[in-house]
Parts: sequence; C-alpha cells; structure tokens
Amino acid sequence: MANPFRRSLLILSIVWTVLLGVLLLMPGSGKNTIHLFAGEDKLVHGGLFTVWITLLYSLVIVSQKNQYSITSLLIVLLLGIGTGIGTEWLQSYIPYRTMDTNDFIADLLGTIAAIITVLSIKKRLILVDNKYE
Amino acid sequence: MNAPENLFYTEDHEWVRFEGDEAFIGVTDFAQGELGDVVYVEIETEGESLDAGEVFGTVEAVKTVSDLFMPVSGEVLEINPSLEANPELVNSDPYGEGWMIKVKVSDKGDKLLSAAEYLEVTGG
Repeated sequence: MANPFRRSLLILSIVWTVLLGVLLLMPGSGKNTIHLFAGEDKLVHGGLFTVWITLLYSLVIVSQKNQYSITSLLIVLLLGIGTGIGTEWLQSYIPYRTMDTNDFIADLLGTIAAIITVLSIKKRLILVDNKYE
Repeated sequence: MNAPENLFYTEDHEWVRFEGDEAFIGVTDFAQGELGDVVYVEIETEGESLDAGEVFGTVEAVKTVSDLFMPVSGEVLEINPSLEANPELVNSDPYGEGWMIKVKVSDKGDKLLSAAEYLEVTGG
C-alpha cells in the first residue's frame, strides 16, 4: 500500500482494533472504581466504536472503486453490531466483567454515528486520498 | 482515445476551447473514462477570478471524486446549466454538451498542451 494516506488509516485502524480488544476484553479489577459521572462507561463504549468504525469505513471508502457501495456500508454496520454483541457475550466469561445490554446499545450508537460521519465527509476523504495517488 | 486538434489540454486532463478572449473548459475523454459514470458536478465559483491551477469545482463519479483545476487564469462567467440535471453529459459528450465552465481569459499561461502533446501524456 504505497499511498501514505491509506497506509496511515490502515495503521490507525489496526492500533485501534487492538486497543478496543484490550479495553473490552481485559478482566475487571474487582474493586470499586470511581466514575466521573453516571454513564461514563457508556460514553467510552460509544467513543471507542465511533473512532474504530470511522477509521475502518474511511479506509474502505478510499480503497474501493465504488463509493456508493451499499455492500460496504452493510459490512461495516454488521461488523460494529457483531463486535458489540460478541464482546458483551465474551465479557460474561471474563472475571469481574458482566454482559450489559446498555453497553451494546452504546456500541451500536457509536457505529451509527461513525457511519453518518464518514458518509458526510467521504467526498473530502477521496479528494485528500487523490492528492497522495 | 479522442482528443480534438482544435482544443488545448492540461496534464490534469482538462481541455480548453478559445473563442476570442473567452474560453470553454471541460474534462477530456480520457478523464471521463477514468472517472466512470459522473453523478454530480459541483461548481460554486461563478463570478470569481481564479489563477491557472486553482480548483474551480469538483466532479463526482460513482468510482471517485476529483478536483477540477483551472487550465488558464480568468473569471468564471458561466457554468453549464445542463450539468445540474444531466451530469452524464460529461461522459457522453465531454468536448461538446459536457463543457463545464465559460471563462473570460486573463492569462493563457504557458502550460497548455496541443492535442498531440496531450496524447503523449496519456499514452494514447
């Protein structure tokens, strides 16, 4: 992948995927944690998925040869939903972590926010990508 | 590849047809082929004076989006009104009905290519 813009998106996507996996699947401490505000963890869930799907979908948009592909959009959406469900299900087997439907909803909202974001800036993304061709 | 000899071209794949001190500008047959099906042409520079090489709009196709660069310096007098409803004219008739802007030329510059020179650029 010679295009530095795409290479940057790919590297950031990989780093964020690893970060997402570590944060969502690491065991809990078993101690009471202090929250800055109610729903803080939901904001973290939504934020993690927003950035993750934004990076992945941006990479797909600039790499593919059909910016209007519904298939790509559905794949990214299903990836967000599948990962949200999968990580919550796995958390039920991880010490001091529990499955939480509200976490999944936060993941889903993050995924949808990311897709809307990318669709709204896709033209700019492609024009930036063109400059590195 | 089609490149009429009465037009001038740029390495960014635009063509220019001079008519007195005015000129019509569009994208070449090679460019429309690379872009694929054009779905939208966005030009919001009517009335503006732009230098050669500046972006005067964007063309959006199914496959990609591309900036449109001024081949000459001048004022954008008119945007092809047909493109709003029929952007596919860029594909079907790039050198005719698919023209994009009419400009009042202030400086032709020295980077325009003849048809033969442009065909060398594209390998056509």
